[in-house]
Amino acid sequence: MSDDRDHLIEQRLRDALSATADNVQPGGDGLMRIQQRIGERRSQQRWLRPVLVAGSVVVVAAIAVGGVAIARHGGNNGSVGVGDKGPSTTAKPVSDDGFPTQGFFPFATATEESAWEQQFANGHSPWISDPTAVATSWVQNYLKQSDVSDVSNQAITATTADVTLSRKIPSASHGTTSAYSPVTVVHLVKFNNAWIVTGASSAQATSSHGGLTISSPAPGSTGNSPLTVDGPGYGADERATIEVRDAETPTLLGQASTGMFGNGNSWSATVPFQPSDDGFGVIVATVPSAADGGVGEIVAQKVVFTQASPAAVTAGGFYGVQGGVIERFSAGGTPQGPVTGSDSHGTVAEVHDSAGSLYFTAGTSRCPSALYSMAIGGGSATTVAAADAGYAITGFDVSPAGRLVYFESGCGPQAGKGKLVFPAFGHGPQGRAIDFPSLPPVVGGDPVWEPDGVHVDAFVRTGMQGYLARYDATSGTDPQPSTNACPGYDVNNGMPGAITTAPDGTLYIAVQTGTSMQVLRCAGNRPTVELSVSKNGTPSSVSVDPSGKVLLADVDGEVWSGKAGGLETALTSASGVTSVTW
Amino acid sequence: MNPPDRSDAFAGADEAIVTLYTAHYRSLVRLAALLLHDTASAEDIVQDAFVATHKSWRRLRDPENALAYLRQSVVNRSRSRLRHLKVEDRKAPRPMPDAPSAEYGAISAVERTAVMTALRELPRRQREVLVLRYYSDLSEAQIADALAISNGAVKSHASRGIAALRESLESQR
Repeated sequence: MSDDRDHLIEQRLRDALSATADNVQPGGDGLMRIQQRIGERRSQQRWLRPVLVAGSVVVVAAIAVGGVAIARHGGNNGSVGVGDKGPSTTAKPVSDDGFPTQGFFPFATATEESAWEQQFANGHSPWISDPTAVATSWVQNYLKQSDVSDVSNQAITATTADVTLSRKIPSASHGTTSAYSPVTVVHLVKFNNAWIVTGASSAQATSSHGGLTISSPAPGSTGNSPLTVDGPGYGADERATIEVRDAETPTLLGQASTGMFGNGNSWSATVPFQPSDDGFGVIVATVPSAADGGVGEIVAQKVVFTQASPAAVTAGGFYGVQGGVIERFSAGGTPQGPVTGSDSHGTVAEVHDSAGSLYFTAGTSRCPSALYSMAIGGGSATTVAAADAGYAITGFDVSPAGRLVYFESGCGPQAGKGKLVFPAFGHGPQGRAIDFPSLPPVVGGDPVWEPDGVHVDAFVRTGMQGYLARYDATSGTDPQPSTNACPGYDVNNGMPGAITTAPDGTLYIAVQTGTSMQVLRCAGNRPTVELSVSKNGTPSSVSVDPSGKVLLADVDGEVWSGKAGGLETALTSASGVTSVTW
Repeated sequence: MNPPDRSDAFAGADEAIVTLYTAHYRSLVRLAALLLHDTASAEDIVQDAFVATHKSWRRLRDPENALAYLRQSVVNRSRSRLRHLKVEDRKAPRPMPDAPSAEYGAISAVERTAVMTALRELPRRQREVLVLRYYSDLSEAQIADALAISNGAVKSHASRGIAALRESLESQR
């Protein structure tokens, strides 16, 4: 009976879906729009990056003669302004070639703009000649604030434009009209046929306060990681996220959060970041809307990087935890000195790098109580997550976008309990957490993000056995043991000790087979062996660089590197290293 | 092994995108529209998925992989879009037209609306499984691949979804 009824429902559903779908008639310009976007991306890859090298020479030259400090929102039409907080003694709104010195999107130099002019003459990327389109593209495609799409105001002259963009706040109840909340005023100046973004300010300024404002550093001034950014307080119980981003690509270089401010208190945040190669970036500050938690205000300004951090590892080198501090190693495993400041929060247990920052767990007791971040060159470390009282962070991962996931294991009285925590999801100070009330099962090693920033893979140890699990950080449900994150992998052929995600998003597992250690690459229907070490050891850490080269450490502190099809190399100079990252 | 020539890679990707577009664009837009109940957003999402596929072509290489990637990308982006808007399908700003299709005249607008309304009330995962199963005609394994869940979970969501749909429609009588 039930089968017949189900069959009937299935047929009704099939008919309804088909009929509904047939009413959907895509526009005829789909392929053209796809090809146009692919073409724009390709042309940026082909000609934008090389000329940035030339652009950086201009910037470096500017720094060499004393740096630059430009009045806020200055352009090629405005008065000369001298930033009162900037390091410069000379400031002007345009460089010698007339390009606005605060300009950063879609071009940061006259050379880049000139290359586009030639293509513009052939009809390429006409949107760059439209200030509203440039402002919208910058907010949506580079800041990735796709909700901020409504142009609520624009003041355009022959040479300048201020475009106010708003966000639609979903209606509080069905049937009511949605409200639009102004988020940011994007400032642009015209250079030849192109409109160039020179900054953005809050659209929430009132007669009593200017909304979110950056006091220091001055727009266009120089700085390097870690960069301290501050501003005046306003409102009550506000909290801002401060990012340092690449100027022309949607790349996050580093971020930090202010504490609560307002109620008369100003705000400040120190952002560790990896400077981009082109020598400049953008400071972006955002605060959430009190109405619904979406973005409420966006402020942005250019920053010029002084120089690459001198203390980063050399090409092909890696970082490792040795003797409780983060040490730099050459490609051959030769120690090159500790990362300054990595011992400031106690003994370091584990280190990863992400988006130009080092993340590490450390603590003064046996339990590494918190997770910190710092610039790859060293400096002061910022606390990014703290374990609950009685717990230690025993594994973690940070996505390229800076999203955290970590596993807490109970120490002392809480021993035997655990939590997998997704701070960016759910509610409350910890976000969403999955309880492991009695260990095992326990997450062994690190949980690792998949490229989508939503799913997390982890090895769940159940006594002598275990399984690879795939968690959906948004769903709130635990995975089933059958949900294997590595198709074809059989735990009976090797127990994982460490897992990681390569820069291209591929999952790698380091396993102990009983006679050797292997690093498996999870791709296709079954994993492939990328590195095999004859020692019957227990993997403690694994890292994979963009070329697929693998770095493996075991619990005894020995380190190997190698690549598929080649022999492993024992890095004997790197001894006593239990956690590694390229 | 020599590194792949980028111009060849581009050419291969360009051709593949045109082939995939010709064969699957319309059905993918319709799939996204069924998940989103919003035709304009569906087109944007599918175009985003095509651009992402082009970007990842060197990794995908084979058209079958590319179609699976496209489908997974469309489902993920639809889900993300829904979550972003924080609206249920029934509150979507630009609903699809409810006029009956000439080709499917056998099913009345009333009947179709009832089924689609009941479908939109289902939990997200069940809704996705049913749309992929009964509109896209995918196998359990293909659905599992698209949603990144196990075959068993697909079976479970499909069974629960159909049961819930039946209960909902019967309660309307």
